[in-house]
Amino acid sequence: MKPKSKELLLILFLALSVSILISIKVFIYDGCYAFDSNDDANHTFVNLKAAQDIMKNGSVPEINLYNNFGTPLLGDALTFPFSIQSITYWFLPNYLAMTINRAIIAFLTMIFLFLFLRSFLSPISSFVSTIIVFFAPGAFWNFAHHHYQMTLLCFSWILFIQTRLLRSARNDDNRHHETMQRHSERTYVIPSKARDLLLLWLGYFIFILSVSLQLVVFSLPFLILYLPIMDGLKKNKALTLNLTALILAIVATWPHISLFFHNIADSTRANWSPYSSVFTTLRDQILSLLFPPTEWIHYGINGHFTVATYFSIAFIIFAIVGAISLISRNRKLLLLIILLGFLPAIAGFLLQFRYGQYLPFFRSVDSSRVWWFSNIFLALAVGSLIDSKWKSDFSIIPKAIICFLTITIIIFYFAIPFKIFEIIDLALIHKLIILFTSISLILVLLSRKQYTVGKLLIITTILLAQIPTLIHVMGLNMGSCSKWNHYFSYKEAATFQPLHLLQEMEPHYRLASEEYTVEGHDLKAIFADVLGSDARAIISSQLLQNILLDNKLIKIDANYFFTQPWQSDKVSELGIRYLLVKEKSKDLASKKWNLIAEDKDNERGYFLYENPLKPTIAHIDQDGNRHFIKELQLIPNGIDLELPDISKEGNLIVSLSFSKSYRVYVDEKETPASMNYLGMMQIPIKPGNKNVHITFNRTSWFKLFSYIFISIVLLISSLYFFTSRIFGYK
Amino acid sequence: MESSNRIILITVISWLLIIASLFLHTSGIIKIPFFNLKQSKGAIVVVEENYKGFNLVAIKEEVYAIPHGIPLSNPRRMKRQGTFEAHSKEEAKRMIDANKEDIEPRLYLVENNFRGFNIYRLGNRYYIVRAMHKEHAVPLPTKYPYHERYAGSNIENARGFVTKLKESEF
Repeated sequence: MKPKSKELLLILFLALSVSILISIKVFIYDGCYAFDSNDDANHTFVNLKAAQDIMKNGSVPEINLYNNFGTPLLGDALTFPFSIQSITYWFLPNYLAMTINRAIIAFLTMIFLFLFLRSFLSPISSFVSTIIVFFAPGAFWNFAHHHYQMTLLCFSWILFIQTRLLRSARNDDNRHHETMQRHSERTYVIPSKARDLLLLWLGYFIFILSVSLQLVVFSLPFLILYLPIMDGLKKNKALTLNLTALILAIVATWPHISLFFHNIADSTRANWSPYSSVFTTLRDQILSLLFPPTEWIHYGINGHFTVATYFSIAFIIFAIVGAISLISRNRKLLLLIILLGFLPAIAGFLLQFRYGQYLPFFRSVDSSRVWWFSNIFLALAVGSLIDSKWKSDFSIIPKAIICFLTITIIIFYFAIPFKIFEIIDLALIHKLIILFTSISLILVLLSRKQYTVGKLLIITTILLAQIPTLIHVMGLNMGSCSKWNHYFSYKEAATFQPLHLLQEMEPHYRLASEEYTVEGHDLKAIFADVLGSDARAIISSQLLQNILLDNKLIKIDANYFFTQPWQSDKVSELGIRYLLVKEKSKDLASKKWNLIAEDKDNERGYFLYENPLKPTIAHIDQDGNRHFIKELQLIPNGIDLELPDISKEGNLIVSLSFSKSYRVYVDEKETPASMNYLGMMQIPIKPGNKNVHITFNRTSWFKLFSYIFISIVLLISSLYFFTSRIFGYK
Repeated sequence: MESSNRIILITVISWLLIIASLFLHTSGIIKIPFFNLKQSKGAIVVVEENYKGFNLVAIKEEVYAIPHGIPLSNPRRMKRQGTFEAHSKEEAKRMIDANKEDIEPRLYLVENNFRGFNIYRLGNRYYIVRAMHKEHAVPLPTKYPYHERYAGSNIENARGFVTKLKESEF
């Protein structure tokens, strides 16, 4: 078999095996699907449904009126209705769409990661390094989520195209001197440039529309610096093309980007993050890099930090030694690994655990996510070690450093029972990883030539080090599809459960559930066109939270939920007709709320109460008297109301969180709205007014497509400019 | 076979073996002890602050009396720094009063999680403390977590006491 065919087979095997592996429970447990029952089921599925319903009516998906008194859809940090991975949701049920997305995206990610790494490494080193990057715990944990799963695919795609550009630019230079006038050369080079610029633009365009912008921001230093590090700043044609593609992609997606920052600025997450203060001592912070925290920390920690900081001793040590091996071989690659691998990795660590809390932007983000990108360059170092000629690549000082590292690891290993109490009962796999790492280093130091055994030992150690990640992230020890882990779930978790309670509620009325928002009932009520009230969104309004908190209506969790003591008056004013609680409530019963349904079969029990006033989401307030409006219709991004006859002036209160982005028309005449004391929309009305039309309006299809159009026009102009002027072909 | 081809082949087989064994382990067909990795559980519960210069903090079923100035860390590490480990809040206080962990008598676990309570023997007397949720590793719902309560002079009495006890009264 030809080497190319062998390599193709290797790539396909790798991509397919990973696709199958990450769907492992789908194959093992009946009815199990690969979707996250937390963020995705509660947020993405819900908001994508809202977005699709709006788009089916031909409108831009601007706001989901069904959640948290109105949650913006465009620029939301989790929904991304125009992302490439949201396409499957148009054709398949959400749980199946996510399952298929994961498998396809994993497959493509492995291919593009491999192709990029292959530019520097041998096939086998690329194979191992690709596995390291994909199964790095932080990235792999978040691969479960809609808004993160395209990250590595887009990133490696862009890097791969940049590398192609770099090579073709270098070839150009050579050819330019030799055969500038030859027509045959021109016809080959120009289309190649055009195609690569287009592919780069497309890569950035999809990246921005499909991946959380926080990660896009983290990735930009890597994507901008890669080419200048490889080829310098002077006459770097590839860099020019790359920056052009990036800027034009930003132009094309500008409405999306600006709305994201607009939303996040007002959100509850602007100055707070659930990721701070996880590991408080330096010992814990360093241990968390070497062993999965969930295996040694003495209390339960939540979320991805159970494992996300785990690099493994093997990865860290082999990356360092790999970098050292490049000192005498390839200084440019070494520089790349240091600047885009080690430095950002260390910066991410310091920002996350030491200094981020003092800095405004970093306080509210998880800075360890920079590792998703730096890992690629650290994996290049590991691959370089496997490809190196070992002893001959190391002079006396590097040897001394490796020797020091080896002795340190051995001392560390033997110190565990005496000094490192956290890991006294360390699992066998970690002991093996430490031992194999130190033996590998000894082999690196002593072998006179490339030892097959030594290389295999390094590869085996690296592969072993992935196992804890696989087990913890996918919950492979749980003996169940979804227990204690939300990487996989049964399809029922994608919708409101128990379903019969949902059927008791009338559409277009409002529910509030007294439960941690992670449970998601409040949000998933949208599947029966029932409006929820609790907040579970990155971009839920800080102002509304403060108002509701001041009125003692809510309890804070990751976001917030409505809770007792129930203030019937305020709850009615907010248009809440139904309350879902977990215990029978004497308080509600005393206030004449009716228990209309319950579900005791459920582990904890759910009780659905109905407000005796049966409030709708809009009412007229006249001197403190409320008249609920029955004649209302939810329309895409807004609401239409028919007003009853009124005898004097009053205020129309619509239980949607006040925003200046709402346009209000009373009898087709634009009327200014204000915010009432509960943060809701308040519109002055007079006797004789017949109807009110409210619509949330921040953008339009015209605006969205104009930016794309402008970007494409500039792109075509750039293609002409670059091919004819910069590269000297006419 | 060339060395590089041999390495590729062995690596591919190793990767396949890992995937296959994870499939077997996850499906329960073969339980591979090698893959049984620990998973942290439980929460840090502040039981009482500032009792004679100590804070009482509970993790899982144990109460730790931590002298002021000692950071909360791994229990094994804290123990070396003068922290006492007890089975109940009252026992922790007895240790603080005696200024040592090795007091007599001590709570001795007789039965774990009998109808939601751990039964302890203290000399000739039996006490109960609310047990923890098996999976969450936090105390089962109770008004006074980590509080010990006298339940009888023998194990049968203690069991009978628990059987009669309404959880809400505890």
